[in-house]
Amino acid sequence: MPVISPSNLTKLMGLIDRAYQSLMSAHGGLDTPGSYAYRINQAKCLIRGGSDVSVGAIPASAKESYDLPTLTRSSSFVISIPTSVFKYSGIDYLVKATSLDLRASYGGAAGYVRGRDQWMPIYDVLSSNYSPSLSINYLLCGSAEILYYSTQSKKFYLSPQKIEYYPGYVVDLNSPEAYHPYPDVWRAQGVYTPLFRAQVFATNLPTFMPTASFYDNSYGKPPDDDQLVRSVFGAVDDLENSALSENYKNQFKPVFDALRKHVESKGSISFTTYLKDNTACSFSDKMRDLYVSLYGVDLPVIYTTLMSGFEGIDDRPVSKTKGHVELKINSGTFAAGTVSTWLIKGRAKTIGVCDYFDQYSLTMATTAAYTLALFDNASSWPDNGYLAWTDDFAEIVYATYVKLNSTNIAIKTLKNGPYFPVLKPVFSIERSDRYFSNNVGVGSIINLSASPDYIGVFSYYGEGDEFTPPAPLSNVTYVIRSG
Amino acid sequence: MSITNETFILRLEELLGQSYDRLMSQTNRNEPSSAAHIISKAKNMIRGGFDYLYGPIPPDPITGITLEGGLIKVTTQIQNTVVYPTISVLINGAEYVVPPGTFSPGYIGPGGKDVQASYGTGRPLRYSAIIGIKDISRLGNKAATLDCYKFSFRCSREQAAGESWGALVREYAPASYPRNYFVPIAVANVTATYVWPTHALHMAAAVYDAPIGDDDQVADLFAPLNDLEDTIESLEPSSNYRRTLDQVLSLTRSLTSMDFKEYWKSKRLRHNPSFRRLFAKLYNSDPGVELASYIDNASAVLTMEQMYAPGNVEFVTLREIPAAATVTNADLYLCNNLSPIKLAGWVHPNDATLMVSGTHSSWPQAGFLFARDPYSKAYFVASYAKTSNPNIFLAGNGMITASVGPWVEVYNVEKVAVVMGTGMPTYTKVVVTGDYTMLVGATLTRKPMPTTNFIVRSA
Repeated sequence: MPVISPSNLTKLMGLIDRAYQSLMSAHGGLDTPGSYAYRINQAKCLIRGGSDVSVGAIPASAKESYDLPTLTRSSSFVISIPTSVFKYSGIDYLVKATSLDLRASYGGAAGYVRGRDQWMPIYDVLSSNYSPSLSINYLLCGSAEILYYSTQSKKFYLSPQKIEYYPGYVVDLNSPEAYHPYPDVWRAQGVYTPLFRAQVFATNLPTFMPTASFYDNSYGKPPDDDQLVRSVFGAVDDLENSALSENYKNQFKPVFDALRKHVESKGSISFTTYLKDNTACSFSDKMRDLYVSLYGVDLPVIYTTLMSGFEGIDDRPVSKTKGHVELKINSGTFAAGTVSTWLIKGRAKTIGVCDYFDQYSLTMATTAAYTLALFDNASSWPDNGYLAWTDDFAEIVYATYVKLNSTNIAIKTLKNGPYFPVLKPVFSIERSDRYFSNNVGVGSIINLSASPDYIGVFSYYGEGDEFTPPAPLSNVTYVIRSG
Repeated sequence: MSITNETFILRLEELLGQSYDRLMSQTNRNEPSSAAHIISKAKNMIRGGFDYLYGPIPPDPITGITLEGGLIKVTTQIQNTVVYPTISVLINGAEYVVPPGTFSPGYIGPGGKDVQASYGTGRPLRYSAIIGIKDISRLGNKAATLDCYKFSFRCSREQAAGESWGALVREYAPASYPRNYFVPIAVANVTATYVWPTHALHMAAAVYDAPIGDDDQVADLFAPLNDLEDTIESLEPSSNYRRTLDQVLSLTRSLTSMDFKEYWKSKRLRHNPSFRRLFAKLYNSDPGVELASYIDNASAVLTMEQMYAPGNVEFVTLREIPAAATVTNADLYLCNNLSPIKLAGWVHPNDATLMVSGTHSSWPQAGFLFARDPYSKAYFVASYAKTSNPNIFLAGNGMITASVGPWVEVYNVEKVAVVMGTGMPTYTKVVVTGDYTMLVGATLTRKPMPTTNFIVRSA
């Protein structure tokens, strides 16, 4: 009576994962434009007025007008944007009228769309510091989504976010569909407000188009009818609450229950261990959230293998729930000794450490700590400790930090040239030295953590200046995974 | 703004209708990439076999072995031509086999753009298309062939090669894309010199799965997956909206002293179709749709809109009829709620017979029928008489005016005479009682004065 094979389990989990993602994408939430829940929220805001999404465009005179600012093209390459109000993280900001020159060659440098993804400061909220600075890296042609982005220092940047796909020459550029197939990654981040998409060539700017989310996220003018709010709002508010709270976990739970029971009874092994030992443990964020809501623990995570290393060096896979970090030996023998790692206690994305031109002024062993604003809540982090991230050249940078509050920390860098790209992750890390007195062989599991308080591993043998290479690992292959 | 404001209600209807549609799109097992489709796939993987109505079939469904390591491979040959192997597909539950051959999608892209033309140095023109198998059955003889549908935009390599082909089709295929009789096999980028088809990687999600081969695993895992599939397929959020719509209806009535439907009909509001579906689901009544926007002696402008719930229709005058005027006579051709019948094959203009599959015992011995392709929108109305062969309808010669395929359903049509009296003020209506779903023809035999015209709408 065999247990389900690893290949079938992988395929089955993959299908469940895709189905759940598809369903949740359609069901959605306030961060999923066009979804069931998102549209109901908009209906509610239509009744009540205002907007619930934390990022969006607002008519400059919201109380007077339902219309959003109109974007116009004032010359072949210049798009004009009127004075507008944009909402970031739930706060409204006034941005003065401006224009954006999108020509392929501009000011002696590469144009916006052709250039690298660099931030282009346009206007401070209070003054109007216009300081273009561009780098040179040409593409043949390109498309970009033009957006506003803000930092906690309340400066605003009008920026092209280059997109890799560009419509063909045959495409009907007036068709909204032509601009549709892009992931809405940054829209969910609460920082950007996409304004329009543009297509730029060497000789002209054929078209630009306001993005759908420009309208989707817009402020809804309240109806001047109290009776409407009184009569209809309660019902649509309840409808929204039920839509936002639904995650279909009751529908999917019997499937996971059956899978867990099947593996445990037929394989005499825990579901988690079976997954860890036999599959790549590649699950979507959405399904992992579902699993956490069902069982209180994340699905297993493979942090790294000796063979693969960390593919995405600017990020590290992390678990959604804390636990031990373990190393499993796949070949060779681990001689008695110490295994040293930097384990991850917390992960957060940055909003921006400081103003754009200050980014390169951070130097090694500076005595003045810089304040780093975090996009995520770091309340679970230790009050002080070590911080790590990767800079623009994919080098690991270390710092010490002191937590100021849940979203701000003071840092002192330990290495030259740190750079904080916006919305890139930083990690709160702790060094872990684990001593083992006996040799262990293939199949053995070494617990790398002294306590179940970690969500991943940042660095290990051979990586990083702050690390002492542990000799015993030199003759083994292994995988490091959640415990 | 108030709820009686047209802009406001249209926006509210759009938001409610779109939200409803978005979730409902996940419940259709035949819609690629929907949650129901994917869970069905998981269930079929445990049980073996498949229960889709559409999709490619590997040559050996027992072992799950397919061509080219799981793929149905379409390779490029030269100059705008692809080569394909024997391909079997399911189209609406029936299996079709296409012998190997070649296929050219042509040089002309969407909008009439020729890929052989030059559009700037180093920028060869290309277009993207979905190549697939199309049902061309006729008169009961099953047949299929390769065909393609061209996108109005270019696919990226990732889009073409990925497994998101369902979303690709759903989001970007032209409205005429014939989901009912076309099974996609590959996505291709077409240039002046080559067709670059993807292997049918994206088809892997729709092909037959070999059974898992272990009874215990089926016993342990099939039931919860089957239940989940049933649950997703039965997701129907319309009841969630009832309180909101009840309040909207109630408030409209209190503000206007008119029923919601009547109020907006009086404004001739074009309700959002998604909202109409939701409304009809909740109240078993279409909130209001104009079936003909103009009827005169010489012409009738039909909207070809379908009522989302069968019901009465009303014939309405748009101008006052003077007291001394002539009585108005009109004939309306209305689809009724008798069971529609599916065609057994293609029919073409001037065909004298229709071969159908399914029973038509409830239909009158003679009358009118209506058929329309939901994708191409081609349609015809014809008179019929049942023959001794229950599957054959005899239509008047030359009455079939458009080609429609075997996926099309044929509807019974009633011819209803409407008589409107004299001395009627504007917007006087005559209600025609019945379970009608669509107006497919209208003639005015007499009317009082040249400037008077009429509309027909759901009652």
